[in-house]
Amino acid sequence: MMKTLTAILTLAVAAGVFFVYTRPAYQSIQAVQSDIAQYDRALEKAKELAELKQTLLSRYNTFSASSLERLNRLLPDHVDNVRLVLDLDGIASRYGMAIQNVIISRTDEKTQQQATVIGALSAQASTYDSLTLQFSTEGTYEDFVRFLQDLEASVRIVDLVSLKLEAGQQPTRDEKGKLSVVATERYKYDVTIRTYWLK
Amino acid sequence: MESKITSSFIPRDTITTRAARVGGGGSGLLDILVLVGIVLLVASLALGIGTFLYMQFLKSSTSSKIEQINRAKAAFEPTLIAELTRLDDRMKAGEDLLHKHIAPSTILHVLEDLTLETVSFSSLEFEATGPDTIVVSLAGLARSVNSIALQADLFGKHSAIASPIFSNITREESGVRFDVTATINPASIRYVNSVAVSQGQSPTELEDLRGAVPAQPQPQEPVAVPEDEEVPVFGGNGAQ
Repeated sequence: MMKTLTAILTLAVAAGVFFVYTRPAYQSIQAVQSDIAQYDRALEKAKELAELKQTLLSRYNTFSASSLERLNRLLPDHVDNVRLVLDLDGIASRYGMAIQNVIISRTDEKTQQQATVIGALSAQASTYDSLTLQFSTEGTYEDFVRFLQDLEASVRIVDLVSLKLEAGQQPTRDEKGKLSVVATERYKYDVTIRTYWLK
Repeated sequence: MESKITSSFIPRDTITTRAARVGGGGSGLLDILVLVGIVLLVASLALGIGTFLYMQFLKSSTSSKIEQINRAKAAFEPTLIAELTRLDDRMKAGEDLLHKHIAPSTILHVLEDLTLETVSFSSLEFEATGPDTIVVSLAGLARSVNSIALQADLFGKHSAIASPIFSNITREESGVRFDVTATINPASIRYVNSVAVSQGQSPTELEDLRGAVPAQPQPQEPVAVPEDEEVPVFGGNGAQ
């Protein structure tokens, strides 16, 4: 009787230990092993990235401060449209022209891009945003061409969107006192430009 | 007298012996069961202890690896990574924008070079609706219809101007008024191309817009010079 009880008890305890602790613990071990494998992979990647970072950092250090400054001016962090208008006025004043009737808008490109699904998606993926700026000015053709050349060579990227050029007109009286309108050398220009900034 | 010799050959204790034998076999099986139970218990306990110890080892290994990862993460300097990423974005976007950047003064120079002396333009409209869609519309005055024909021929031959369409041709006292609309080849006014040309590098698709204007034929007939000298002219200094 005692032997029977002992046999049953030992078997029950052995089964109990196995099913209650050992088997669940083994399953946990498998999960932890999988985690450790992931950590190992992450550490390996981190090592590779650290090497890459070091390479990139050494390349970054070769950039001069002035180059980085020019790059920031090429595509600024903010739209800074007031600064842009001041810059435009500064360039125009070099050629005796004045910037007038400045209108700033952001709707033009948005509506064009979002006209299609692909356009909307590409607009979302783009890392930069843009703004259009419309203004008018007057001056001789030669001065305007020089102004335009300065504008297209400016460090901050400015693209011409539209330009309307018309001859200026001036009413005059001839020898007989007849009133007539004659064209002047000064032209009137309606200009729309687009500028960009990093999102 | 009763004989003491038993006539039966069957042993009297046979049943007892068999019962005793049967009783001895059950005890042996129980012994085996007890033995198996003890072995299994010991094995199970050993396995459990082994599992427990291995689990503890794995836990300490995990915490050590997490610590290493945190150290590696801190070594990355997130602010520096953000700065480098932003610089990368700026360089890529800048490259993209510079590639699309146009130099519209180039087209004005082309018009200057191509415009005949007998033709003048009084207005110009330039529309860049997209990076590859650039349209120019001009209103002009020519001395004769032949001048317009010659002008159309010159525009048509130049690589920067595509499909020029002359319309609204009207004779007036001062000459022949006309409108012209043309699309501009975007590659011809790309800023990068004009810089390449000015720096003496080999341009990609661009012809030398200022120097390689195609040979211009002379007008077939003498054109009457209009008396009105006050018509504004931009261009007209190139073609004769």
